[in-house]
Amino acid sequence: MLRKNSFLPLLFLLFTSCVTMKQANFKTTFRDINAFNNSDEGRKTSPFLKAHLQGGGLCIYTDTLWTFNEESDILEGNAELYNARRMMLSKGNTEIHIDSVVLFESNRPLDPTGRKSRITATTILTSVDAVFGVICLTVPKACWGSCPTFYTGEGDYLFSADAEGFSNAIIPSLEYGDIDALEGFTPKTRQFSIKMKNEALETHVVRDVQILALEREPGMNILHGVNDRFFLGDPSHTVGPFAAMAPEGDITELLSAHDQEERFSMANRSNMKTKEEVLLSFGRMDLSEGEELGLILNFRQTLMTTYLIYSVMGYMGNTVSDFLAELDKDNPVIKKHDLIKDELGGIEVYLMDGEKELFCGTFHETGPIAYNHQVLSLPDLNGTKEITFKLKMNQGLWRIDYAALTPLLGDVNPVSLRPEKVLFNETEHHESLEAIHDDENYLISMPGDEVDFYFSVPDTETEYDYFLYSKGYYLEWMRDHWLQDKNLMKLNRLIEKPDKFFRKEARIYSKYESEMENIFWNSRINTQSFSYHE
Amino acid sequence: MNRVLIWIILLSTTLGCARQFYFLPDFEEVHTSPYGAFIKLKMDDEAKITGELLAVEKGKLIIGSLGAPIIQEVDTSKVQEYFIQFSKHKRYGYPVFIAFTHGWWLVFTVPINAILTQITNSQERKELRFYNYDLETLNNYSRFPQGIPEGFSPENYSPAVKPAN
Repeated sequence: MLRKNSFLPLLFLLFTSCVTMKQANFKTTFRDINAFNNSDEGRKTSPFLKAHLQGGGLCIYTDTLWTFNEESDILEGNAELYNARRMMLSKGNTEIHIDSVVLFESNRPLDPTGRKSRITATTILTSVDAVFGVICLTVPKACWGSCPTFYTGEGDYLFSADAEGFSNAIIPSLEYGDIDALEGFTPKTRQFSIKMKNEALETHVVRDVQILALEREPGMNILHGVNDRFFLGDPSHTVGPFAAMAPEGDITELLSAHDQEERFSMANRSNMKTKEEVLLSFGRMDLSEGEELGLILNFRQTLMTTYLIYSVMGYMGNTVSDFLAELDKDNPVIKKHDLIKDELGGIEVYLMDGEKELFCGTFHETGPIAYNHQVLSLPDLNGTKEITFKLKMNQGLWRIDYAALTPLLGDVNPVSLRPEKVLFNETEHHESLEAIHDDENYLISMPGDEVDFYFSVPDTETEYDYFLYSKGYYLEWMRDHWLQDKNLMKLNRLIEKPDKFFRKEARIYSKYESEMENIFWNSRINTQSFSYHE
Repeated sequence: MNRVLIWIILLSTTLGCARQFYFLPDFEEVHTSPYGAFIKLKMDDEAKITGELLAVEKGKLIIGSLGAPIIQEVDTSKVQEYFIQFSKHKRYGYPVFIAFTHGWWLVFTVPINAILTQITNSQERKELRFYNYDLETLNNYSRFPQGIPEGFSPENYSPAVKPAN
């Protein structure tokens, strides 16, 4: 993590590079043009000439190619001629007789050294800020704090977190249960443990922690449905689209593989809340009896939501805790707390039947880092030759890595594994175990606490896919230095007139988007370890 | 209502600060400007005068008001302090929204950014201003370094305008 000491070299650079030039002596005046014209040094160092005329007029020679004819006493060159009111009378090749001149003035351009240094220093400063911002966005817990992190292995650290619990539950009334896939997790022994850490300045209030074990045949997989249903999937019969069209053209290649080559768009510059459409066409897929068809999407968000959340926090400024308290009391003015999600929406899926559109469901998960691999079960389409879906989504909000159609071989019901033992900071803690088993009670975790939950696999001979279920909420510890840049007017606009807010914010966001998206996604920091599942 | 008034006052103050340099040339064009420099004076009676320096004549500074055809004669002996600026200064800054991405670290990064930006802007202004020359020698920075031309009067004075690009 970048520390404040890292800014010291920059401070030094800035101090050393900001040379204050003596710029004031860039002009001199004289009455004898002959002396100046014949002085090589004069014309070399101060070559731009102004002739102040009788009556207050002024002739400015706009380049250094002016000539003086000593025989005719005529000055000639490209010039702008002004009267005393400084109205321009003429422009172009101009001749004046020196008898009409009362004073000559020679000028040199200002020395740009100091300014170049300042531009360089400012560029470095902005770059360091942007990189710092990227680090914070990539490792949000390090800068913002977050929610409980869960680990399945020994020696885990932040970058290898397997799941994050209830990311959006920042007040008691927003408590919810959260399911995260523990991808590739296979317990080595019958009893295994999951470690929960509190790595931020927060109080974690955990109502429940369970492991969901879903039985599957070898070679099959378990797919997580958008409504928290689980399906048995068959990877060998999963097919990508034969055509995928977006407003910018053919995106079939981009969506054909689970390869992090994503399709995304930039936000509309005049209105952040603008919809766009993507068409996905699949070939015929025959299903056996009892099978359903599922549309798989591998997706995540762009930085738009992150930007809006940070902006809203900034607008609340030092009243953030007041707002959160009102929110928790279900204040009718602020109760539209999921406004950003409601306004921008998810990825809506429509089945195309000629001109008709049949709404099938919506994909939605918050967060720009972790991929969400989810499936949407579809209506019965058995025998349909060609299937075309229209995805409607907010422009500039979603990144889609992969799309596929798959047969869903049936619902799978998870086996819930409850903790059998709890170690609280490496000491067995019966009260915590009881709290987790009691639906009316909470396990409280403070910064630095580590809690190990022990479970047992139901059957060592059966293959399972595992998911983590956690329920609760967390409270950020507020600082004295909470943001000073509050803008309640903008906050009010977002709440009361969101359409206007998204129109006005579009121009500001487009600057952010073009800078931050490039830096963020071109950075080589591994972003796969984080989860932002709701 | 009060909030609206405060906004209007803040806005007009900010815009007012920015507007007074409008006629000055850009850094790269300073050698071809037809106008005098911007001057700001603080008088012995604490009055403040700003405008375009038109000329320096026998213990007097002739200053043209900005935005109105008014000429003021100022007795140099009554000037407490002054500064002259001969080019627009660039305003350095960084996009403030970036600070919002710094999380709790903005407690450190915002002041550091603010200080460095302030230093940079201060250096820029220092380079384009001066305040320590003898007032009688400022004629080189005036519209009429030769002195007010004969026949020139407030009636035919036009305030400086923004240079055409």
